[in-house]
Amino acid sequence: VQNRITDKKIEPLELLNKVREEAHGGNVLFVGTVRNKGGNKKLAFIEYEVYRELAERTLQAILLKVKRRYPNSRVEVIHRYGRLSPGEVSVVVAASSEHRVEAFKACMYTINLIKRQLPVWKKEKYLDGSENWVRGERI
Amino acid sequence: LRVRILYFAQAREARGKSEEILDFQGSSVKELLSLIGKENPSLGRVLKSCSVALNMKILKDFNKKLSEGDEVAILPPVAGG
Repeated sequence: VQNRITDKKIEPLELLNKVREEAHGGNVLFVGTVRNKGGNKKLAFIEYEVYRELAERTLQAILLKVKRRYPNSRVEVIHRYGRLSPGEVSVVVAASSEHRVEAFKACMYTINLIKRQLPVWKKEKYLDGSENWVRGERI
Repeated sequence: LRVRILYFAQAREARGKSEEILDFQGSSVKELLSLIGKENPSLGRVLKSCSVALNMKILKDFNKKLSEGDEVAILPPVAGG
């Protein structure tokens, strides 16, 4: 188990330091955070639900796919679950390459796959007491 | 045939639990979904938009036959990030 799925607070720079190399001059860090509203309602928090075992496997498969497309980049990912307040970090993708263009591309490719494939669900709870499942995509 | 069913998100809420073991007379995933959907119409509505993972593999074909001890996960549309 890689523990890329966690209920602990994420430290983005720690993840970036895992993928950095002396030969690499382009390092990109994507940090996804919880917004303070959902639609036009003020958000209290989001409850993240995950199918952990499948999510770990899916992340492994995504990283393999990224490696095939960007063989000279190093990429790592971490995704949080549980109750997250506005401003908290929910997902981080760190990509390191020799040059910036490949690092940006590898990072973007990875986060897009995560959005479409990771078995994660979000329930938004609002300050007015109402709640809503965030509309998703079919895996 | 005994299978373990995992429910997530809207499916979990509709079913009122996150997992169960079911003794099942049919043979395919499709039959299983139709059975649990009939027993619980609000779950049935959710199922229409769900994907299914059989033993942690996303299923393309719901006609797939089930085996004793299989794990069937009901996955509503995902919204990670």
